Amino acid sequence: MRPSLGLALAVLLAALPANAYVRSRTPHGTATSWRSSCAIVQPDSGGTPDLGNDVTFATIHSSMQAWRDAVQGCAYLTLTYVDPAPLEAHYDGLNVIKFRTDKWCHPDDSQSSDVCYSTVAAAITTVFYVDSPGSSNDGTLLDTDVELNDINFTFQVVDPAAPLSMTPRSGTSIADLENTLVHELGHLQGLDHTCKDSATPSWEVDDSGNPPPACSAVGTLPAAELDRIVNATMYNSATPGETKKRTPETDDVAGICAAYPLARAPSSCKAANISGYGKGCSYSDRGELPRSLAVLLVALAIVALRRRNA
Amino acid sequence: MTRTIPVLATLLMLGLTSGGAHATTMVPLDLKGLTDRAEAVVSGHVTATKSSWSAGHDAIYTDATLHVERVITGAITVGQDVIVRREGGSVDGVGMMVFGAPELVPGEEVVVFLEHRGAARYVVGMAQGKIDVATIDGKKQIRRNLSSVHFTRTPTVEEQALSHIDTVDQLAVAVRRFAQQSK
Repeated sequence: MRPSLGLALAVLLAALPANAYVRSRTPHGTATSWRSSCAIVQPDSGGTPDLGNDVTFATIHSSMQAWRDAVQGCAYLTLTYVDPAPLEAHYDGLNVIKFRTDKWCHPDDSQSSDVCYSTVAAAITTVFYVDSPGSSNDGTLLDTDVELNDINFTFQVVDPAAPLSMTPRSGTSIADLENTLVHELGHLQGLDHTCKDSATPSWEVDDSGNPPPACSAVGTLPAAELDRIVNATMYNSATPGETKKRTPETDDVAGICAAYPLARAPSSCKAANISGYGKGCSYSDRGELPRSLAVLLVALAIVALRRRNA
Repeated sequence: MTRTIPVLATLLMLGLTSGGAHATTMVPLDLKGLTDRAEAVVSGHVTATKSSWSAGHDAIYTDATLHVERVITGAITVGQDVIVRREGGSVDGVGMMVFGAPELVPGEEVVVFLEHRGAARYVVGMAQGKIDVATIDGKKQIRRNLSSVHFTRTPTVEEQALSHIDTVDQLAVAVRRFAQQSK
């Protein structure tokens, strides 16, 4: 490369804003992602007593729409909303959004109460993926669930003009449902937080290939970098009554578009197949399915499960 | 003052005035909040981890063995191996990740704030209750800048002093002071 061209490129690259997004990875460094053109997401029909079902499910829908609107034109992954049904949030190949209203625990806990979550967590996103180094499927997302803590938090649609004006249920904190969900849906698509805390796996890197900056030290970063990190929807903390995470920011969009570039779009939408990955059951064909058929199969599986459990 | 009042005060302070988020989506805890919620605060080395499926085979948990070398507060003894559980892990070619659950890696030295949830011990406030330790010039230094901890109200003069904590010794003094206040 001629020195003048190299210099020009270096100047150009230096002038371009670096992104801060962090993709979640397997312990061996493979970035996790969906291998379908869609991720089908379905709310549990139980909803939350904090909001009527109409508002609750419309908010879930609009949270998914916020991602669709933000990444259209550069990413192929589509978050596909399926109407609510009675669902559990656990490893079954279904991507479920569920409010925990009686106990802030994983369902296995119903007998032994040994797997409850931290009461200071408003929401927990759990992600299952293929962890098979060397395999072409390594890093494939299999199942994701978002659980919302409706015991220690009151979920509301906060007025951005008066974020602290709402009164939560006694002993709980207010959380804006859409602000919470858009962040969690970023995890569901394979994004991690934009800075590193004690929960960040040691193998995580940002888009530049470097470990993310420590959350405790972001205040020392240059203003532009600080702005990108703390204003991203995938930043790891929020202020009381915050609503700014309702819409993905440029950095979040860059992360999704890097993970799901249009040029590599799969031909169709299919539900994840967890058969052989810790579960013997399967509800979809291994082949490509039209999106509508995949959704129909999921719905049929739910009906079958409900009948079996009745 | 009974124990109930400061705990309630902390809950009210953290809950009603904050509603903030951290890690997954979480209320930020300052050192007093962490201490109030902890049944024990200890330091030591992680010696092993083991991941396994839950009884229903629909979640994965990892139990880390922590060899306790120092007890700051709580009914745990030096030399004891305690099991600290976290959500997530990898088994049979399947990985499970819960954003916000603290990673405990064999070989690392940590201070952890521990609470019982059901039958197992977990780190308080998920990642917030784990502090990395490094020995520098013979001193156990903590690798977390407490000055950046998000306080949910104007810190008292005493709490502001915590921003200068950089060793395990200093941390132990502050934790014991908060624990004493809560009794």
